[in-house]
Amino acid sequence: MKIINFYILPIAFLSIIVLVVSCNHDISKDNTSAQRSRQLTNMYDNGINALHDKLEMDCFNLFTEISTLSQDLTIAQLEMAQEKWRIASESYKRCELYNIGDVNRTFIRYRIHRWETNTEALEDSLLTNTPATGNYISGLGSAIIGLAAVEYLLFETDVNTTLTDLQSNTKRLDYLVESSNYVYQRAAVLNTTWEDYSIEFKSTLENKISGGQNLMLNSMIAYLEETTKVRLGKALGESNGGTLDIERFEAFRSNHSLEFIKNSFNEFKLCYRGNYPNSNGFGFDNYIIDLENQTLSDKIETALRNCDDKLNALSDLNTDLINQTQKVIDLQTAFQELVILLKADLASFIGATVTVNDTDGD
Amino acid sequence: MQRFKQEQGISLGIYRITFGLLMAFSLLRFLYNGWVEACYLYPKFHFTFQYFHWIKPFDNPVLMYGIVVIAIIAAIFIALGFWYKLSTITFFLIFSYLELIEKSWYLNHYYFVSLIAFLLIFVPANHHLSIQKISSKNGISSIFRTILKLQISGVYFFAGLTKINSDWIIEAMPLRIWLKAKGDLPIIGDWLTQDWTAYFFSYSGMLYDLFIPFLLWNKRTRPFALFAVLAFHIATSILFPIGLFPLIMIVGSLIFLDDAEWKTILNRFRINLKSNISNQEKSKTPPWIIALFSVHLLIQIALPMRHYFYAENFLWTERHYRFGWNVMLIEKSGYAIFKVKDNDSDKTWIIYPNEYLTNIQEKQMNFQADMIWEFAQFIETKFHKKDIPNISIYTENWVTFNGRPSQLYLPKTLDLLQISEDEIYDFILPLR
Repeated sequence: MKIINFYILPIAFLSIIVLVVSCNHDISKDNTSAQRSRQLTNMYDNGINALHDKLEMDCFNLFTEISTLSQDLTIAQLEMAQEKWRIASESYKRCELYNIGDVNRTFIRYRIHRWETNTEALEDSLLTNTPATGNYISGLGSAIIGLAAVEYLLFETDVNTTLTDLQSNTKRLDYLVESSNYVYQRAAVLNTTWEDYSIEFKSTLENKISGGQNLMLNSMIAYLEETTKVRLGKALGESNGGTLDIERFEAFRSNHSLEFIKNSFNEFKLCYRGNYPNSNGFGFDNYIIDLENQTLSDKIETALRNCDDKLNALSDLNTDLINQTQKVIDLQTAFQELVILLKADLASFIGATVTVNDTDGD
Repeated sequence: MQRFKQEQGISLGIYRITFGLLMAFSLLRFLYNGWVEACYLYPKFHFTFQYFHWIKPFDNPVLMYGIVVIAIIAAIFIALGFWYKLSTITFFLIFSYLELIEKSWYLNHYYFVSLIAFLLIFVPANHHLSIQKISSKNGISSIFRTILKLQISGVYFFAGLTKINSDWIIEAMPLRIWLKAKGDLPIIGDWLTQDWTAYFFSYSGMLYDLFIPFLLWNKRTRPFALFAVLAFHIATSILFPIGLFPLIMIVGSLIFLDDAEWKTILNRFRINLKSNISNQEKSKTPPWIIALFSVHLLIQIALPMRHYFYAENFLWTERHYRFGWNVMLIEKSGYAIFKVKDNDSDKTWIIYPNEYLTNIQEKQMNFQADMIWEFAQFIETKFHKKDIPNISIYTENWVTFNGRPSQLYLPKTLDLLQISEDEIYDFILPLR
């Protein structure tokens, strides 16, 4: 009887209070877990999944077109192959943002595209007697294979010289075909890896380092930092004392660097806003507003639009770097402002951990 | 010789055992999590403490792992009461060395462990329940338990005192941010997203810190206080990633139980510790011990109070923030890049910290002025090695603090090489 008086009654009383308070709670809003679940489910089902299907298809089309080129070495066919490379690369740039969790741990990303390609090592491998078979390509280092290597082989010189090089060197042609085939195979593996990881991604709703939302925010910040520092900063001479250098752009051979940035930034915006095609539109912006910080949401929106404006003010980076340097600097500044908002304000506000280390803190 | 009340030393013995075991576990956990690699071996550069810039890690991983293993053995020996003096000295030196290597890994509870380890060198906590001395007929001075009680009380009291600030009391910050992020927790998740919960936690946390030492000292309120310690630290360990801090403080509260109370508890488990020592007897205490403990206490009062001498929001500037029991007071994030200008050629470089720093180092540096300054000195040495001697280094540094929008932390025009480590705090831009 004493036990009932001292333990069970107080526990029962507390439980009733808990129930009453819970029922009294505003049910018009989802709880945090439900919000995160909506966001991550939307992200995978309407964004990531479709995107990786498209990447696989675009890489297959690239491989098919290059295979055709190997049978039909004409300018028209070369230009078709170049166009397919642009499409596949743009698809990849969109997928790059989602290199997180288990997908990141497979390092497939580097097998599909590793910038900058080591042209010297690539040419050296073309000089060896080993035939450029699928096995040979898959055993090479990531700096001489993938989309960057295919770009080098397709765009390094003018179309006539490229064709002549391919005609006169069978291994060069085989290397191109097998590289594109390898990219396609890796894209298929990437797609499967994401499918396998998707359940865990959508269900990891905790506010911890491996939480889906946290992983995504970290990836978005990493993307922005890489864009300011590497994709723009290096060409702007930030690491060499200020000398402009077109060859430090990611796709300077195809003069497609701006499209690369535009595509990845468009994906960034979709990921942030969650407004994928056919989706519920639930993204980070909704999450922030639900947590009652309209001001921060507005600031990020303004910064996103500013980045768009600065991107649209450019025509192609190779030319603009020399002729309109200030516009490239303005673009970099716009990205930097966005980094600050995400890395400092947003991460702090939603309690995300902008680090891959976990440690004690007090 | 000053005379203090005599004790049997059971309470000290139990504290020694639990502290030693906890430290051994803590360091094993450090090894298991790969933190020796992450904290000491991997970084290209280390942020060190003022006056301790000379402390460096061993380059050789075997040595680095080796001293951690020695510290683990010393902690186990402390628990056993085996070679006690040597073990406490060894543990104190190694643990403090490890702590002083890297400032970005500073934690209040690591500092607390160093202080306790230092005190244990002089406290004969092996007087009872040790492998070399299961029980003793002689008593020991109560001053030894008192100094540990005062040390633990200081942690709580000053932690409570610094919580009396407008962010904590009026805005319930930063708890409002942290608790909302925990909305995914089952059952209580929804509550944690409510503002009233943050206020409840803020006020109860502040009152807990301020009053728990007094409740623990008082014999009549001690049972309630011990229950409160347990409840509070279990709650914080569930809600926040604060590692072993809750366990260290729970173990710390055991020192408040006196020998008689321990005997009663142990008797319930049929463990009978006989004693011939009367509470009325006095024990002689060497004057140098009293002097040492007095100086220690004065320092422990002075360090948390330093910031009151500056007319600034020290939570924003973080001047004298460390070693002051400022626990869970701020939520800060930042962004920093550095611009190097060669004054001879006018050439400029942009330095992104993640080229040289680990994630945790960069994260911590981004909102701490002394670390910004220290990193600038590191960049300077890099450029000197490249034979570029005449440079200026500037930073673009944005910081967000307790939910406020990010703002510039240091002037963009401030040449970090022209000021000292102490001076940088004077240049921190006012909080808007």
